[in-house]
Amino acid sequence: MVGARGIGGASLLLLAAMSAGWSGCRCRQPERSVAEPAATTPAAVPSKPPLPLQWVALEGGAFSMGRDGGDDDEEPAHEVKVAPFELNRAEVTVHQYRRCVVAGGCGAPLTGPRCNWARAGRDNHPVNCLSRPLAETFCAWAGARLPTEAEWEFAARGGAGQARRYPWGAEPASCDRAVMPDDKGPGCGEGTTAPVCSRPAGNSRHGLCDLSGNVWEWVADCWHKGYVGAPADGSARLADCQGIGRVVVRGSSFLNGTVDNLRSSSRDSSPAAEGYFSIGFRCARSKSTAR
Amino acid sequence: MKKLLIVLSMAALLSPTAAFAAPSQVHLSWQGSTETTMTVTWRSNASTGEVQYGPGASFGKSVKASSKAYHGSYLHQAQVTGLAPGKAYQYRCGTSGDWSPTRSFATAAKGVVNYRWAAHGDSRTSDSNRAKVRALMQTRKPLFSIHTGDFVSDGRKQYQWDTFFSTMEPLYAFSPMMGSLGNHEYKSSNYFDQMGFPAYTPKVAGLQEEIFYSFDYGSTHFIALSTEHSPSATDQQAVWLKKDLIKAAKNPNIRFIVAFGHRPPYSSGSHGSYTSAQKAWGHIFESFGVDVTFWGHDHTYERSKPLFQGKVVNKGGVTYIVTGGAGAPLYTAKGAYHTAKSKSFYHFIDANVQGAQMKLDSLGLDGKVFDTLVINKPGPKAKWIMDGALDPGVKKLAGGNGELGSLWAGFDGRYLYVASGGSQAQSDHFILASAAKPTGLSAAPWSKAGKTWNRAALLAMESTSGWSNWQDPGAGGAIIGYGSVWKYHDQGKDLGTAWLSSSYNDGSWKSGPGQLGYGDGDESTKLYNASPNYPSAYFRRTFNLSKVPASARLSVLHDDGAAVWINGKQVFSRYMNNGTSYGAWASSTSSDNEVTSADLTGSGSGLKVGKNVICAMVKQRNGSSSDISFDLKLDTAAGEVTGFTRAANPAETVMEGIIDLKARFGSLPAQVYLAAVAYGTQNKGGLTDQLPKGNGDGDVGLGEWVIYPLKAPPKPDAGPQKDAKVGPGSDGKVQPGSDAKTQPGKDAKGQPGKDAKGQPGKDLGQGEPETKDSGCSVAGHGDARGLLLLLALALVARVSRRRRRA
Repeated sequence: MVGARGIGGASLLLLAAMSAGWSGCRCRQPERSVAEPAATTPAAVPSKPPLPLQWVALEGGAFSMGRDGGDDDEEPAHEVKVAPFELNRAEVTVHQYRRCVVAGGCGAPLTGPRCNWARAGRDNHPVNCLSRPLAETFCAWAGARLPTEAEWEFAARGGAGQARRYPWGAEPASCDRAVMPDDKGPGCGEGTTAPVCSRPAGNSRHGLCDLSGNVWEWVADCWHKGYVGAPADGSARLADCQGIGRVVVRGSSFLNGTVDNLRSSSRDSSPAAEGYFSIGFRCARSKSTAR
Repeated sequence: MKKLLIVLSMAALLSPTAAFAAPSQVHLSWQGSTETTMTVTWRSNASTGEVQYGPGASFGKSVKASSKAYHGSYLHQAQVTGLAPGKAYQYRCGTSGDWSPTRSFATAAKGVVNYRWAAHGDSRTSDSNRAKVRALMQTRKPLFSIHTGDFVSDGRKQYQWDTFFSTMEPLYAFSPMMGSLGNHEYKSSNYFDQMGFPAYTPKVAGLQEEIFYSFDYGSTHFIALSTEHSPSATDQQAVWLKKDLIKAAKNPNIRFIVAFGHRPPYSSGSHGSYTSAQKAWGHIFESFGVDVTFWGHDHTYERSKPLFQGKVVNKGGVTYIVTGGAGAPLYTAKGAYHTAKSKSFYHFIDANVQGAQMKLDSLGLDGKVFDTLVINKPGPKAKWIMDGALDPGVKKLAGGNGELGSLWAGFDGRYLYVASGGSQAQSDHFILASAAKPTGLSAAPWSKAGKTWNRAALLAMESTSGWSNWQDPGAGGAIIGYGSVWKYHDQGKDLGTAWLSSSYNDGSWKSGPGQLGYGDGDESTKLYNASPNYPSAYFRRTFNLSKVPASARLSVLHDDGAAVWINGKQVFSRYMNNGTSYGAWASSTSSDNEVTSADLTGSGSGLKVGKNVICAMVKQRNGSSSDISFDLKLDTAAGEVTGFTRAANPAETVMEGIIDLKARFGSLPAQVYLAAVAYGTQNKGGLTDQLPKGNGDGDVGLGEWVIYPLKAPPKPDAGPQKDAKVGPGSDGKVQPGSDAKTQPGKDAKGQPGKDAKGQPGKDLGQGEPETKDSGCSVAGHGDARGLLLLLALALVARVSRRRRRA
């Protein structure tokens, strides 16, 4: 659609703005991409210039994670201290993921209806239809890891001491801010994912794209219904898990879910071993390992 | 926390004798026949109770309840029997001076084919949400409902049941609820005490009654299963399930089969697919014609595409619906290959059965229908059941002393049934059937190993390996495959009829591979999405033929309407009742990526030697529809194999021993050639895997073939039937909505009125309600859409030698 055509331009503008120096943001600017192997990409020529993997640095600090009086799996609200870390500005794209596959570092995601892999024109869409182990492999290949759930919410809340209801603030969720289902259907009527960073108005306080919407994102924690006994140091919860192979996903997707799922504190789970078309990921790295 | 305290303090205030001002928590269910019984369960302070009932408010009859002390008061359950089918009764329960309000219930009418029921699940946790869903259900007045489990958060806590049954009473006191056990019931005795479901038979020692059971309502057979007892394909539940399904298959009144339970075999929700249930029951559902299944556990709505052995199929699959939206906190479905539609919302399923059609609407609290599945099962029921026993009415054929000895066959005008003997334990076994005289070896379209027997015959078999290679022997004979490149015109221009001409210059059109369209996200080529939509998009493609095939199968993926022309001759249309002019909208909304097939025979195909031009028009339903889709395939060998079924027990899928084959013909040949052969090494995959490397030579000696003449079917009686009820299930196989539509509909054009063999050209195909049946033998499927080839077959490995020894 016309809107989709405009989006490419918007994201390019945004990139330009970012490389020119972001204003109104205390974070360090995304300044580099990871070393990427020479692309011997056999697949389709990207329809738009591919986006490099970008990192946004977040200063650590304390914030209130979870929410009382909402879904019981978000309870209780509790203070968590997060160490400084860096997070991908955008969900990992097909193009970025392909580099790892071509280099022999990653397995291919699933193909099929609504899967972006091996589909023309999807280079800048988030890679989806992949299990969490594949996502972990990619992040390791990129010298990083999956974010912990606490890091993810810390970013969505807006950082230390912040409590944004949605990554962009308190304004209600809409298709201007998130790639979400609306009256026209999934993906704001497009029926699918959108290119990453297509909704700049929905960016987080640190300029992170699509934290809410587009695809759910794998995080490092396994599923536990609620935060009783959860770590308070920002590390991933890996013990005392509920369900076999069930892990946390964050941020909702284009596909379905309610507006409530787009909130910064909203959580859901999925079997780690399966790939779904509404789940993708982004990577994180600790400050100490960040270059 | 606050809420809990209030509940507790209220409980503390109420002494046991003051717990209920009147009989409360009244709910109905069936432990026996839905036509003649009704079970009433309630709580009260009295130690005894009865149900008074009758056609009017004076009741006239009563039945004493069995009562027991229960959580500080009493629990009563009474089964009313001897009721008249199809009657409404008034009733009340309690004891003298302490009666419930007078309410009504209704028994199922005998042979009823028009009725409304509901499916719901996961009503736990939020009483306010469940009350909203219950109120919504009341608006549709279901005659009864099924519940997929997780009634409450913790089934061990009676106060949660008290709340549940009180909230649901306005519905359940009028409309029986039939449930299945969820994990949150914790197998608590509270569940079994308060529910009144049928006992399965025969009773299994150590296995509680009511954990699985079945019941019939009119033309539908319902099966409740327990996912909470570690299901496996060999356990007592599976043994019972198979027997129960065979019984349903043999019941001429049953047209639809519905199964339900808690953990979903297929789901992309937070819990994901429960693979134990897939493995335990998937192939049983497939083998015995279960149409649709309902589950919960994931608090969402998700409908699967029709699935067969875990793969998406157009025909012969089972649909899995997750309906976990009756109160519990919502999850989201993440979307997997099997997902057809999903939404995270509070809802229930409004099921409406009208004759040969079952319509399933998922209805949200906003009163809007999110998704609809239509299951059409017109036509007579299959005569033969693939149950591992030689069916009556088949005869032993002379000759045919091949590797597997004798052959039995039967034919009812619609189905060919074949059974073979068994020997050659070290080999894999196959039944072959052909409409044409068998010859020697040549390349078969389905053979990946080279030469094998080349007829559209089929076969059987076998272990899990290589199974999928057998699904579509027609695929090798493609003239045009899915994903082919098409020229297309999506610019909203009226091209009149000029574009249909072979000489039309489409040089300025764009081109791209199928699927073409927009709005679903699965398109390889995205078409222009105008706002409002353009009514029509045009597609063209050329191909060459060195020979005109006797028959070809056209499959069109379309959303919404589509028409196809070959060399200017219209050969196909679907939802095009508004005509094929540019500005006309499609006459109906299709399913997403609906696939409709038509068989093109003889001159009706429009095909010619040399260059052929195929043109297609795809129409939107209206200006605001969100998607449009088109793809097309054209196969010469229309031996599209569907409906393979394998034995319920995986150990039986290796065909040592007797095998059955059931095949349905598109149109009737005068005779079929049959053979039963043993090939290769035992348990080494299918025919294609065995040849030529196996020890069989891949050929069947001409002397091993048996000719079996097919009698012309009796003519159908004249005059319409009152309703379609007498002809349940076409072939006992599933025809989910999408695939019910894979049969050419009314508007499939260009079919000659007679088939190639000169059978009466009456349109008694699957796409139309059968107009007659008096049991089984009917109605030649002699409509000319058919081909000389088998359209569908089902077979089951019967008693395996291994099992017989055991």
